[in-house]
Amino acid sequence: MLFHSPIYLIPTRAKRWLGLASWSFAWLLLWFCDGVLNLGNLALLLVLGSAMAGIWLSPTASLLACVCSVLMFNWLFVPPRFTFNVDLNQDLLLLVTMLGVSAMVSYSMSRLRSAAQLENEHAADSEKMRILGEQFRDVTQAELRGELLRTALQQHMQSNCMLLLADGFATPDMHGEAFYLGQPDKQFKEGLHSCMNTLAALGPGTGRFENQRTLFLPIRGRTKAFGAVAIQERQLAYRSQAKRAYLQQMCDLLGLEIERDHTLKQARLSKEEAQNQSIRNTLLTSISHDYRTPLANLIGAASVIHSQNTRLNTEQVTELAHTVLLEAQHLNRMTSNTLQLARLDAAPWKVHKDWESLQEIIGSVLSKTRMRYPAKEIHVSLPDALPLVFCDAMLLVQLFDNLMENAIKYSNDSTHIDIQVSMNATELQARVIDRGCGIPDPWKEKVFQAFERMHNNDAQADASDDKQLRRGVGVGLAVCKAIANVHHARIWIEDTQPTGATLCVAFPLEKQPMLHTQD
Amino acid sequence: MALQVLLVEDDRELRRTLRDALTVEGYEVQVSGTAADAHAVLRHTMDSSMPMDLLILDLGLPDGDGADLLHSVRLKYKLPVLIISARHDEDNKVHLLDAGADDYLVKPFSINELLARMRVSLRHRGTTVQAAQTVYQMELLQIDLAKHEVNKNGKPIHLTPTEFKLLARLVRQAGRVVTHRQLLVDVWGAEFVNHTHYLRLYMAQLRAKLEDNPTEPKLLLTEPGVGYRMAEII
Repeated sequence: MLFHSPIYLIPTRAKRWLGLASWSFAWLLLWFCDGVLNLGNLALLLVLGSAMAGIWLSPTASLLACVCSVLMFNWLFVPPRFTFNVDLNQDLLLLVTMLGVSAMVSYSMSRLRSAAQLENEHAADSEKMRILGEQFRDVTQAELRGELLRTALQQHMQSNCMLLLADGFATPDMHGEAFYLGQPDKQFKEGLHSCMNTLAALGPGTGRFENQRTLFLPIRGRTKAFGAVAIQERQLAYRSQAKRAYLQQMCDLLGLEIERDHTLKQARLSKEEAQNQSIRNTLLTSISHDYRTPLANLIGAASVIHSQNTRLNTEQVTELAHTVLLEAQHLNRMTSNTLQLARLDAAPWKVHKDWESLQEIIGSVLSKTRMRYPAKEIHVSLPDALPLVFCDAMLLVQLFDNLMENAIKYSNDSTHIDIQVSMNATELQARVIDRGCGIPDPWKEKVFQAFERMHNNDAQADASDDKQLRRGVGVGLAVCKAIANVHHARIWIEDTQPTGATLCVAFPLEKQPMLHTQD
Repeated sequence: MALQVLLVEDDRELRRTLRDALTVEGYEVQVSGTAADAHAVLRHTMDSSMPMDLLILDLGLPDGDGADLLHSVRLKYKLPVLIISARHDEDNKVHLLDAGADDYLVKPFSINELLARMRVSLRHRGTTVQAAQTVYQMELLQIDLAKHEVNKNGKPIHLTPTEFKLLARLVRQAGRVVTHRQLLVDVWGAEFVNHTHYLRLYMAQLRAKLEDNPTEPKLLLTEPGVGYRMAEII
């Protein structure tokens, strides 16, 4: 910032002695060189001195010094010496040129100075504007922002300011609650409102209400005004177009900031709205797809117990009650899967991760599964000393629970399920292997989408026990996929040889936490 | 004399089902639908000749959070509290266990689960005044905390001091879940409260020494996201 901290272009009292010194130095040189150099060269020394002095002296001082010097030079050095007479024409020309050059140097310097001065003011103004913008961003309350603008304007104009701020979030043609700063009286209030509503400046220099002694400026956003300021006249400074434009700019800074906030708030609201909508959609789709059948079975069984109780034997009642229990458990699983899917869809960041042991997670899922299916054979193979995984334990429990449940549903009771965990350089891989009917290639990706189901058609039509069991996988694998996603894990399906599906999940290996072992 | 149970649950259907089921099992059940009512019942009965033996508490009550009731019960009475909650929210669960609840069950649960948890809570009734459990025997494993002895299949098992402290903490409340936080604070110290990985590693070591199959533990059970539980002595 060359102009921001002016070093030599603006004359200051302290620097004047430098101007005088350069003159004295030039005269000293002149004295020494008298008789050594000819007249033309001596004159050049003087021009140099005058040009240098011009840097530090004001234009008038510089010009005066210049005229004096030329006269003295004429008196002391131009033959005939010690008179103001000039014998030769070329000496006269020399004197005139000297005067001209010195005057030009002084003039150019003063031009340069005023340009620099203007530049400095601009820089200071934009700096002020930048600071004001930052201050606006730091506070969110409208009152505080208004007060900031008012203070800035008052400091800038050295006069009293009043301010009106309307609720920026009201509809474009209707302003909500408005408040004032600086206690304007009735007349000022009217002016402020009129200025805000017409979105145009009023007062001296604006072409509207020229006879007013107060300048009204709107606080403009891109589409509407969010308020107005009234600046009472003490000086005529803002009659200048540039000054008024600057004041308007300060006001607009606030207007744009308010509008930006408004836009951000809107965006946040619509994002939340979209998320809620997505949860609702997921829930609705799920209810219409998957909830009807188990509900029908549940109501059927329960109503038989309820109305035909006396005509049923104990065995039949127990069996019906068992159906009620199974269907209710099925609904419960579907509900928690659907809710989890919706939750992960809407807020995947709300996951509580900690260092967990895959052995513990698989172990606890296994114990529940064995309790549910005591007859099912499940083989487990886990290497010793597995690294820990940074994950949400409850989510991983749900993931493996779904995988095991599916593996059991989709395979014969006579076949066994394998759970294998292995590790390579970058990943921890878990596999749930069944020996059921397998999943054809075109479905290997699709089964992870919510509400896609392989036996979509026959599940409804065929009510045999085997197919009955296959209901409601729709959400299960989609949840697994969503859970894998929030853990940056991969999930995919391979074929089991000779028949069946292998569900694979691979967790990235992470740098293990430090352990300061005590024993 | 039948054991006295106060059931605080705002859902009328569930309240009736549970009351009937518990009565069938031989408990004397009183029910409350609100926190205020529960407060009143406790005030009347706790100083009478038939104080409550167990409080079963639902969290979402119409006139205030069950958690507040838990806090005030904990301040006044030495009464085991079993939380039943529909909120599948681990943080909340853990928070309540840390705040002094004896155990929790997430709805929906089966009556068998509830009865099992009730038995454990009742067995530990008054652990705050009586000595905590110091001897533990399960199948072929014997643990005697006072003597610092752990035997499996008749052979002594060597445990490091930290492993022993961890095991002892779980044994003292056998059958009840001990949260990660409680374990970390009691075994390692308050500054280790976030070092869950210590627990994982030491639990793995303990299981390797005590369990036949560490992946499917029979003694040192995992409560995912909450803590650990030493299997209840049968």
